[in-house]
Amino acid sequence: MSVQSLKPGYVGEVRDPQEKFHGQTLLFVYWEDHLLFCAPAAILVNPGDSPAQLVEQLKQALGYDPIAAELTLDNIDWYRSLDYTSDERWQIDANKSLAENGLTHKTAIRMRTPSLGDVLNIAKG
Amino acid sequence: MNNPAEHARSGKGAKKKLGMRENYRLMTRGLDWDLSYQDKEEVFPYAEFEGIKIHDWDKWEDPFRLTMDAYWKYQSEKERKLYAVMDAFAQNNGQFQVSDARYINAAKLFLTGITPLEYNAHRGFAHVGRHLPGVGARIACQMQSIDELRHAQTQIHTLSQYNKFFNGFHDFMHMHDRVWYLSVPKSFIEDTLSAGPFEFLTAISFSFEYVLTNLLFMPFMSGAAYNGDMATVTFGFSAQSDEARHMTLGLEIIRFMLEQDEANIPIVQRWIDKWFWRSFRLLTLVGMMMDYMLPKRVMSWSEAWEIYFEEAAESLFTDLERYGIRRPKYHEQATATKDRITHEAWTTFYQYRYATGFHVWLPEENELDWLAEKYPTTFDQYYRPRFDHWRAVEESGKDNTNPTLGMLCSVCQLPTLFSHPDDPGKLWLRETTYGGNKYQFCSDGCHDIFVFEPEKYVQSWLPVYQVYQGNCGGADIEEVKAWWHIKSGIDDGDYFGSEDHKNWQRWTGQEDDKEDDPKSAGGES
Repeated sequence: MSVQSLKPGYVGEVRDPQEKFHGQTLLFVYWEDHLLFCAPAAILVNPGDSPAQLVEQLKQALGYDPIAAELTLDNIDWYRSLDYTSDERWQIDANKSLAENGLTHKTAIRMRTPSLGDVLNIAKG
Repeated sequence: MNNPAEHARSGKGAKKKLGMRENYRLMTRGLDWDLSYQDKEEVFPYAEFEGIKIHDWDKWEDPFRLTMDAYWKYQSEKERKLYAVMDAFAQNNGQFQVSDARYINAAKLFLTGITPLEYNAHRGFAHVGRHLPGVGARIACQMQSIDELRHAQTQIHTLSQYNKFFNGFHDFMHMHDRVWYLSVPKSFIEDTLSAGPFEFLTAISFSFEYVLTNLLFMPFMSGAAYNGDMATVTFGFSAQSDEARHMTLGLEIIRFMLEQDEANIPIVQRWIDKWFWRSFRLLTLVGMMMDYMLPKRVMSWSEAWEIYFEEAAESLFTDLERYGIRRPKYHEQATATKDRITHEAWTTFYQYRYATGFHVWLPEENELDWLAEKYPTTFDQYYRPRFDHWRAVEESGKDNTNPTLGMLCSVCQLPTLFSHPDDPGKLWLRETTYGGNKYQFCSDGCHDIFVFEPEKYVQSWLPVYQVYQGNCGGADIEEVKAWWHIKSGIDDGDYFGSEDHKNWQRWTGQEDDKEDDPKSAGGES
C-alpha cells in the first residue's frame, strides 16, 4: 500500500518533476560544518554545465559565508550521501557535465572542505 | 416539532420536567434514526477504509455530557464576556500596554499560522461529525466543529485591534496559503483533512489536543499574560473550557478504538507515531516564539517540553500500556533535541528575514545571556557564534542575510534545518527515491511518514521549489513577496528600524531615549 485511500489505485501527482523546471535541474548542496547555513542550499543548475561552472555558481550562491570565495574544484571533497556518517565519496570528473557526473534532478550532494576554515570557529564534536 | 426533548416534555401524560439523564439521552443518542432504504456503506462511505474495526458504537462513552441547547447557553455567556473585554481593550488602547512591540510579532505568527488551523479544524470536525457511524461520536464532533469556528472568529476579532496599529496582520488567510513557513501548519492540517475520520481524530483530538495542546496554548497564553496582551489572554481563557472537552474527546476516541478490536492497535500506534512527530515539528515554531519572540519570557521551550511532554506523557502512556500502546516512536529524538530546535528555527528566520511576514531581530545581550543560562550545554557552544557573526557583519555595514533558498523536508515542509540527535554540529538529513524521483527529509520521523504513504507526499506543495518553477509571481524575491501580499520593507525584515519600531517609540515616548538602532548599544551596559 502506497497510500491510505478510499478507493484502490490512487496515484498522486508528482509536484516537482524535472520537466517543470524549464530545462534546469534542482540541486541541493550541503556544506558540512558550515553552520551559518540553516539548511542545504537549493540551487538551479544547467545540466550541461561543467563542475568548474558549478563551483563558480556556488561561490555566489554560498557567498553569505565569506569562506565560499575560496572554493575551488580542488579543495572540495564530494560525498554521495547526505548522512554525515557516510564516507562514500562522489568522484566528480572535471571533464564531464553535471548530468554526466550523475548530478541529476533533485540530487543532494554533500561537500567537505577540510583545508578551509570555519567562519564561526565552532569546535568539532 | 423538531426538538425531541420539547416533544417529550409537551406530550400527553408528561407531568414533570425531564430529568437531566433523559433529556441528555433524547438530545444526543435520541437524535439518531435507523436507516430503512439506504445501505450503511452508502451513508457512511468513510467508515471502514482505514482498517479500523468497530463492532458496537453503543460502547462509545460520550466524553462530555453536553447537549446543544446547553452548549449555546454556555458559549453565548462566554462570548459576551469576551467581547466586553475586547471593547475595553480597544477603548483603553490596550495595544500600547504590551511589554514591547516586538511581542506583537508573536501575535502575527499566531494569526497567520494558528488561526487558519482552527478554521480548518472546524471543517474537519464538521466532516467527521457527519461521517462517523456512531451518533455519540458525531454529536461530540459537531460541537467541537462549532468550537473551532468560534475560536477562529474570536482570534480574528481580538487580533484585529492590532491590525489598526501594526503591520503584517492585513491578509493572514492569503499568507497562510502561500508563504513558505506557513506551509508548515497548512500542510499539517491538510494532511489531517485528507486522512480518514479515525486518523483525523487521532491526529487532532489525541496527538495534538491531548498529548501536546499544553505546548501550544500555555506558551501563547502565558506569554500573552506576561507581556501585557490582555486581549489574547481573554480569548485564551474563553477557549480553555472548550479545550478541556476536546482533550476528553481525544482520550475517548483512542480508548474506544483500542477496546473495539485488537486489530486496531497497530493502526492506532502508527498514527500516534506519525502525528506525534508531525505535531512536534509544527511546535518548533511555538518553541521559537517562546525563546525568542517574547520580550518577557515565561519559561524556555526545553523547560516546557520537560513539564508538558516528558512528565505528562509518562503517566499517559503508562495508562495506555494496558492496551498495548507504547510511547510515540522518535520521542527520544524529540527529547534529545529539545535544547536545540528553537535556536535552529530562529537563526533560520533571521537569515531569511527578507522573506517573512513578521519582524525578526538579533537577541540583545541580556537575552543571549538568558538563552545561555537556559541552554547551558548548547547555546554558547553552537548558537551564540552565529549571532555574534551576524552582529559583526551588520556592524561592518554589510548584508548578513542568506540570499539562497534552502532544501525543504518533503513531509513537514520546514527547511531541513535540524541538527542530528547525535551531533548538534551536523544536519539531520534523510533521502529516499520513489517512482524515479528523489525526496529529502529533516528527520527519521518525516522520512518514515513519507515511505508509508508516498503517493500522498509526492504531492507536497513545497514553496521553494514552487518559486523555482515560476509558480509564485515571478523569479525575483520581490515579485514573490508581492504574490504573498507581504509588503517589502514594511512587513518583513529586522524589527529595529522598522515602521512598527518607529511607531512604537513615538507612541510610547521613547524616541529620545534611544538611538535609531538601540540594539547597537546592546553590549555597552
